[in-house]
Amino acid sequence: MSSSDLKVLIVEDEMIFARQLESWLKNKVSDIYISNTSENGSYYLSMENPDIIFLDNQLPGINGLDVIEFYKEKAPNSILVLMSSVFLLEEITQALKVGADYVFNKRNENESGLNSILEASLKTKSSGNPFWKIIEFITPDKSDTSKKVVILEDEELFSFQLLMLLNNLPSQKKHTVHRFSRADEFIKHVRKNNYPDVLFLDYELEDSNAHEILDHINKHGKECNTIILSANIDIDTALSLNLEGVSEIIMKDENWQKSITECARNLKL
Amino acid sequence: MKGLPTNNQPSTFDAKDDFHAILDELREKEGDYLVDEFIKIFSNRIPTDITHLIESRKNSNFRELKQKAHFLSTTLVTLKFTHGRLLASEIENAVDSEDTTRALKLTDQFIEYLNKALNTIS
Repeated sequence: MSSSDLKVLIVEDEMIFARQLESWLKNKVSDIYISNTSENGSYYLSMENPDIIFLDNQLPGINGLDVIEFYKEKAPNSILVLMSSVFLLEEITQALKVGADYVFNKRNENESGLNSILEASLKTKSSGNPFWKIIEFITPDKSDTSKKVVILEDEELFSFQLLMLLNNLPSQKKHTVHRFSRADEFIKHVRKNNYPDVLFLDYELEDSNAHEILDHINKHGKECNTIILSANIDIDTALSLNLEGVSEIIMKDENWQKSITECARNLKL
Repeated sequence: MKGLPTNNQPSTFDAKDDFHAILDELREKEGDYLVDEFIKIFSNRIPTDITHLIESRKNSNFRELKQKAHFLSTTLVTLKFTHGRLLASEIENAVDSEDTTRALKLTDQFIEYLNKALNTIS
């Protein structure tokens, strides 16, 4: 199967954006169906069984977020991408929780971002692995305010959710975000691409821990804001990390998304 | 907090989008056919959107104002009309923070902006 065999459904009431999306996709996929309501979109789910669904969040009648579960029930093998020009933090979490495979920020994504989605959809179909494990980061257009961000976290679903949040920050800035699950991949990356401006670092990794990574960063004298992510950390360890140059420690608790947003604001992300 | 500026918000909203220049750039990237299609949709639909904005403003229906601003932000982001998109975002922010005076003032500017865009590119 190649991307030219993919069938795509666009559920979007704003026709200028729908045409733009269609134009980006038209030479890459076999069929494109456009619906301007979620109710009408469900007709295409039954009749055409699309491989990818681009579903707008704000629609006349029933909103995108409210039909994700229904759509996924009707088309469990379709990749569902929820789209919006402004996402609320809780909408992203909710969308992923009820079955969206990706959240697509209309402001930040571009044609190359769509290619990543098409490639990841194909790999998901051929390998059976979940979409969130496969999707590559999407390189935003360069801007003066964009920063290089790395997520080094071995719990890949958490890492994916963090990526989605960083891609939809209230500041509306676009950043280049890479994510890795192993320390050796990160070291390889920084040797080639230099250190990121901001590193979100899981305290315990499968092949390393935060102290070793911080040691590496400090040895090379690089300026990199490091944020530790941990489910459980004691006060002595926290103090020690602080002395090692950690900017902030974020607990993986029920408020972690809010903490990330606050932290991003402090770091001017 | 009410009406705090975001980092990429212009200090004032008198900044202009050079509609023709932006569309020319878009033509180079996306082709004449698609941009002509955009203009056709924009010209046909925006007068109705403006009417809805005026109605919502008149009735102080802030939920509708926010919805319409949100809807139009997709239009404006696709057309790369940056200042219009920022205005739309600021209306949403003002409604969220219940700063109704600011929301109404921004809506007036937004209507003026859309009329200008319409008259310039149609």
